[in-house]
Amino acid sequence: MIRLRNNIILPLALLSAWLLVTKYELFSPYLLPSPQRTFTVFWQLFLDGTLTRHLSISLLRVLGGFFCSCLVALPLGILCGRSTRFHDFFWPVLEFLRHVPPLAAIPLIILWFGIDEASKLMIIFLASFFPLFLNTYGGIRNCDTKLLEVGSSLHFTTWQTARYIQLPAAVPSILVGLQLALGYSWRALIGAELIAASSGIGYMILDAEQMSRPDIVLVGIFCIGILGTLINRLFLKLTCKLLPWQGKAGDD
Amino acid sequence: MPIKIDALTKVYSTAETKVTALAPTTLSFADHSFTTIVGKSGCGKTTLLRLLAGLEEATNGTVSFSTKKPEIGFVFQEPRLMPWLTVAENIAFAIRKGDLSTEKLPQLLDILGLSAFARSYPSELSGGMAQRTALGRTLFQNPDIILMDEPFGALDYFTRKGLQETLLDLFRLERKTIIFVTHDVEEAILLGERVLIMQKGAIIGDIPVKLTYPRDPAASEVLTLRRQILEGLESKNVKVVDQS
Repeated sequence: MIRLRNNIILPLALLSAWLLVTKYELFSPYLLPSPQRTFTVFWQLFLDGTLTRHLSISLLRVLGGFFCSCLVALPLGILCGRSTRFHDFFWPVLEFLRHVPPLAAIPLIILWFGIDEASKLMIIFLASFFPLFLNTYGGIRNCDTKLLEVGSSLHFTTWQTARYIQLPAAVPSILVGLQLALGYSWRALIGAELIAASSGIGYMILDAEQMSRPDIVLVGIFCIGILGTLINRLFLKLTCKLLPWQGKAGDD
Repeated sequence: MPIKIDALTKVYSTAETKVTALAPTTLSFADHSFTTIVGKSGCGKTTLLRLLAGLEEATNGTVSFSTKKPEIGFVFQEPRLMPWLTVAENIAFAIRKGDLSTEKLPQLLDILGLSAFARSYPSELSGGMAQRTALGRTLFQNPDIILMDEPFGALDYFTRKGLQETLLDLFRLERKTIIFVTHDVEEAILLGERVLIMQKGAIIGDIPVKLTYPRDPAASEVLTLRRQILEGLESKNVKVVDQS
């Protein structure tokens, strides 16, 4: 209860400040619409289905890009973590790509993948790939050598060591990678929807900006923030289910 | 003789120096015997044990066994339990090799006093219980030889005493070949049928302990042996025992 109270203090304070600022018109309503106005617009967009349509399209894009990223980053992280040969083969290229922001690659992505869904998925893929790859790689690579030695003492084969020690030991790190990658996917969404999109929450925001409708821009921003937070919460619940052994205090 | 080591040597080389962790050692361990190795920290006890287990490669010399490929179990100084597995799953960890059955698991949990904690995770265990689980993992493997590297070193007096009793019960019941490394002279005498004294990478004493179990730490024979071993450990003139 105390935590819930602490959690809502700052949002309530910000909302109050917003109310006051707009009530006394410290800024022009064209720059900062009031909370009431924003909520009314939100409700209208929700009732006529515009918001649901844009949100569901964006959500599908995020999940699609994230899923593609998982398909490539997880096995590649495991392989590079397990094998020095794989690591040496892939590392120079990956290290180069890691430092290139996905937004910088937009012109080339449009050229190669067109302006359809593929280019948007590619941007989300690029944004979420490295947090997932690096965390998987680190989780496998940094497996406690003492645990690996237990495998040696039990005469485990290389496959058994990977399957029964390295991979389970890397699960917490992989889950952190998945969580970060999901966050990065949401961030990359707006960038992805800048590419000649005609749908999606990013497009809705961009369109509203061009139509001088800051109230719709705010609705879009709130929707991204709230949806991202909800997905993250769901993810944390899943993490608790997958890692029941974490966070239990010893009695010694 | 199930285990015979011949001129076994381990030298750690760095860019600047060479450190001899184990001087050329020739030794044998009888079948179904309980040998303790005692010595100060850094005297080469753990190195000898790790070489026997094949966890490290010898610089020179050989280790041979009477049977072609005996099953060797190793109990480490720390429990080294898999944090994502429960106590029961940790004990049955060797089953992942695919040639063991879980039938004896309840019996083992019972012997080790862990039945009530079978579903607990390592983070919920005390040090003693964690070490019992580690011992259980090695016993579940049903090895011919058990190598133990100061397994009770970090435990309090009472937990250690309890685990020593459990170990002796298991030894009398199953008569495995046990090689137990410790820096505690009293523990070496109370457990071993034979005590090897190590100093500076060499075996400097080999003392048979012909006392019946359980042994009283205050008995005069134990105290005499204790004095004898301590004198050996503190002597400056190291005379290497060669059993070749």
